[in-house]
Amino acid sequence: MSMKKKADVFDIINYVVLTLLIIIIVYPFLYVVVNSFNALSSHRPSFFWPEQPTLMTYQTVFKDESLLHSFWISVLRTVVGTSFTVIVTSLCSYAMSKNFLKFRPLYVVLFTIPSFFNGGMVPVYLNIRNLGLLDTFWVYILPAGFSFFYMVLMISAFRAIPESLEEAAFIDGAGFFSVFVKIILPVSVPTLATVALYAAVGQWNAWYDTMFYTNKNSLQTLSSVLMRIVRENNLGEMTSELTSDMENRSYNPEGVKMATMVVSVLPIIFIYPFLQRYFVKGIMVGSIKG
Amino acid sequence: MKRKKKSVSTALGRDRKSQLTLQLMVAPALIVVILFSYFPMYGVIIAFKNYDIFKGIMESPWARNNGLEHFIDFFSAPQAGSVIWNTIYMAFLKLIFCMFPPMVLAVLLNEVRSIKFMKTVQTMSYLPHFISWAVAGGIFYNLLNPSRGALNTLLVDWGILEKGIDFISDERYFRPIIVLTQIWKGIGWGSIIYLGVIVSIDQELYEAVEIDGGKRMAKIRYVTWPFLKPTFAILFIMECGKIMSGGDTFDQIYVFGNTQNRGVADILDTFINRVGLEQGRYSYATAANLFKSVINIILLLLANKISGRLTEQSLF
Repeated sequence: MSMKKKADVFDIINYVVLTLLIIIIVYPFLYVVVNSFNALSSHRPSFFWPEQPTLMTYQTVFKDESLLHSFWISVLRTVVGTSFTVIVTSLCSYAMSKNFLKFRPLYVVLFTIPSFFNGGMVPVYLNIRNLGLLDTFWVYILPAGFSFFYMVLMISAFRAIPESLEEAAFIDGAGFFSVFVKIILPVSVPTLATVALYAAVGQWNAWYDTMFYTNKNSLQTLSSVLMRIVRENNLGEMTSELTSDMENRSYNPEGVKMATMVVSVLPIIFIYPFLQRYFVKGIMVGSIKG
Repeated sequence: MKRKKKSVSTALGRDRKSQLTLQLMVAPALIVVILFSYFPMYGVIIAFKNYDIFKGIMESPWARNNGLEHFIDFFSAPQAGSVIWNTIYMAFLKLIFCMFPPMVLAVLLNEVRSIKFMKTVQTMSYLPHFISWAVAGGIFYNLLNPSRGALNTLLVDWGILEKGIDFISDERYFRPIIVLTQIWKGIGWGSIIYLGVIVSIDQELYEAVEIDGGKRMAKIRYVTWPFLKPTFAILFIMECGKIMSGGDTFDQIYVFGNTQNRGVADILDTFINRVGLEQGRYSYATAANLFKSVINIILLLLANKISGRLTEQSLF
């Protein structure tokens, strides 16, 4: 009945408000894309279409070896880091999904506390230094190995699997590890994908660890390079080699910076359809169980 | 028979070998947590010591005034007052202005009749959630730039301004920028959880309001809102545990903060990061951090208790 009602004032206002909201949310992205294709570093920005369209800015980005290297490091940390997180957390979650796991109550406490209290920036930094992880690739991977939130997601998924599936394998003499690998993991792919996507976006966007735990140029990630560019812009300084390089080589340094941003967002846009679906699922499960 | 018995005990983890397997599966995660979460917690002791890199945590001498030297230094430092004030100010702005928009968006989305339009709005609104503050900061830096940014160009063109304003560096505009960009980044993502609740509401409840002659506003007020309140309460409690972290705005303030707006931008987290990691005053920064964490936990527990009394909703 109510579905057939004609649109009233509320509906019209609602559509207008939501349309405006979407314009406000999307336009900043469009603005950066448009201006990243701008040839002239003029004092007037282009609003909807580049005044003098060019690909030079992107050519500059893809010719910059240090930028390409940072892109590669970002890819590497995302792939290795995500795999490590998924492996460590899923192994642990499977064992934790069994109530007869010895010391389980203790583990629950141990895993929960860090989500409410942490040592703080300096003790974390000093700890990483004492462990000899400063200026190593592993500083991106190892600390991210376990996440309480991912564990909650996985435990609820593992518990939803019918026990009969496992029992058949146990009767055939399989142990927990082989049941986990051969039965549990294959049926939990959607949840694993959800966690993997969360972890991957986190790895791709991470900049703090690169900024404060590494100095080597060879370890810089795209995200940290961007953070540096934006901060230097903001502070009105041009200190790093990278940005001064850009100033020299290109006739539109601002356009090149925007092209760098676009390049860094592209991988996220590519996997966006998956991101959306699995992330929403993840947040729903997390909110119900958490 | 024997074989069957064994498999049952395996399935229940009763035999030694299978229990060992399970323990080994927990081990990697346990090692990660101990190494990277519990070791730093132990490191908090340096707040009460004069940390010396060469001596390590154990051997470093205790600080003066019964180990409270760095706390006293922090509270008597000239910037302490303004840093704490900025932190709390920012957190309250976030509580007041950033908590409602996602809920309102969820309610509005639910009123949309075209599923296609609804899905489009949702998809678009999540996008900013997936980019880092480095990129988001870069985007707004370009939009708000005083000489070649879109906003200033328009304002000058329309004769509203004579010369572009450096909005980000201006202390008057800094806080609004933080709030607005936060809403921009979080509104879509934050709406998911509310939308999930709204979808689960029994349609008969709405029909009941309709029979009583209630219009749309009545439905939102008497049906939707009571269902959303518990979720809102939980999110509110969690947000209260972030007050001394300025509502978790470190990344954002790190991007937008500069020497000109520091008077309003500097919050505890940026202060601790600067003093600790950039200036190397380890013990001092750790003392400030410990103060921050303790107040955060107290506020979380307090909010939890008050909410438990008022709305019967609590985290634990």
